[in-house]
Amino acid sequence: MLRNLIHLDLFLGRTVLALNGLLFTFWFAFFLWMGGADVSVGAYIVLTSVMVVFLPVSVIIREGKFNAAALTCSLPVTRREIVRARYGLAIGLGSCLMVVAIAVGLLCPWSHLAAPKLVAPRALLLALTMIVLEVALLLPFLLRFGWIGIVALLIALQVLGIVALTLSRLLGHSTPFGLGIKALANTLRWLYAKLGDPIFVAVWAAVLLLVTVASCALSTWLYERRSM
Amino acid sequence: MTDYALEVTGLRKSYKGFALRDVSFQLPRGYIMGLIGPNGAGKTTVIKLIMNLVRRQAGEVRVFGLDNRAAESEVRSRIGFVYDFPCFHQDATLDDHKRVIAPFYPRWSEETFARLVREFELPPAKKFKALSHGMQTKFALVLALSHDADLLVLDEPTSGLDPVFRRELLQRLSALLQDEGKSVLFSTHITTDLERVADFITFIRNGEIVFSLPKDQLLETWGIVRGDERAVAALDGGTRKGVRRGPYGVEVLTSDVDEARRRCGPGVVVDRPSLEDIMVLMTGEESRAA
Repeated sequence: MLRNLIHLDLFLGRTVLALNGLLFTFWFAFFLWMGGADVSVGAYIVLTSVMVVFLPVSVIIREGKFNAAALTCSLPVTRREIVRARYGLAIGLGSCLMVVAIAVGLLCPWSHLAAPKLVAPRALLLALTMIVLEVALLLPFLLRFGWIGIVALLIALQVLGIVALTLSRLLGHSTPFGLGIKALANTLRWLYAKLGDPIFVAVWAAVLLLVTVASCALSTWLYERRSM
Repeated sequence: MTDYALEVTGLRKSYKGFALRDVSFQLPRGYIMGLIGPNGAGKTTVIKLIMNLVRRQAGEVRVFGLDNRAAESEVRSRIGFVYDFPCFHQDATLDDHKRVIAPFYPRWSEETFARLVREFELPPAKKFKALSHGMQTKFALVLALSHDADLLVLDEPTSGLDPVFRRELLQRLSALLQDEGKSVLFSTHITTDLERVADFITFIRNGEIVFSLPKDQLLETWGIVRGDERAVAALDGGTRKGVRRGPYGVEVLTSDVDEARRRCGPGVVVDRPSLEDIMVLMTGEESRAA
């Protein structure tokens, strides 16, 4: 049934997938052209992996636009299966577009990215981490509230960012708030540095799996309570 | 023991300003039940609860003895469902929908699908958004009828259809019952449709079931007494179901036409009611649950 559900989303959303996929590919190339030699592998991976998740999101949003969620939910499947299929679709499709992004980084004539760094396990793990975490964050909102949920979440994150920056500027870096931000940044740097360690990678993969399972469970709980 | 296609027991669901209260009825296997009631009575909510499209707060729904939540997939695979509003991908064709929906149903019949598309004169390569409302309903009906469903749940299936196709659809539903022993629950405002095909009528008003009875019993034992206030007084009791006062007298709906004749005597006119009469009188100024 999961295969049927993923096929349903891919087949009925094939036009929007093709158009948005093309648009994203052009954007990756444009970003490399605009950034020139200033674009680092880390920055490119982070930015593109944030973007790629919006391809599957656009397919799920389209279902909401047509009120077609009622059609999917009237098929002989459980809501749990629908949610699982959506996680599979989001991570799978996001990863496919990430491969395209890496290919653009490698093949684009004006790319200054070092090929060995771009396909290094550390870069690939960073991309996977970004995709998994983003899917885990977005899908509960998307599945429960549709595109409004995504917009509300993005606005909330923007506001949070602005507040954090303002407070950090006003209060200075030596206050508990500034120190907290600094600690968070250091942790992220430490995690990125550790991505080369095989034992850490195994632990990290388990963490990502746990995060996905927890997010999926939350999405199922929310989706089962959604009225169609 | 009666073999039921659908058993709804003590169903409850509350929204802001509306509540479905203790809805209970049974549809025996192999029969057609019409679900009638005024706008906002709760017909669509009942159907959504049967399909588990909204979450019930209390009660139970059993389809062929299976709980519609515990055995969700199995129950749905045995139901052919038509929604009251189009919920298809607007820019996809009938063929596109068939291609993705068919694999979900183990008993999907390509032959039935092709025959119905032909008989309903549907353009398989035309996008859903390019179809008229009637064609969209036919589109939904084709998908609901192509997987050999044992129970058809149809929410306002005849609205938007021309009278010729409406008649044809009703004949087709009757044929399904006679030939294949299927069961049908359909809600409608067009009560004349039900007079042609329904075996049972369930009337819902303000979120409560007013009655759920065999149609023949309704049309044979219920009556409308047309007279004056004396008729209202004479029929004051359990069998009086509704009263409507107009400029030319009073109409009283009774559930026992013989008793009404006895009580009122020769001074009144007693008619057989249509389903529309029953619906109008039971939603009128003074009505009582059966």
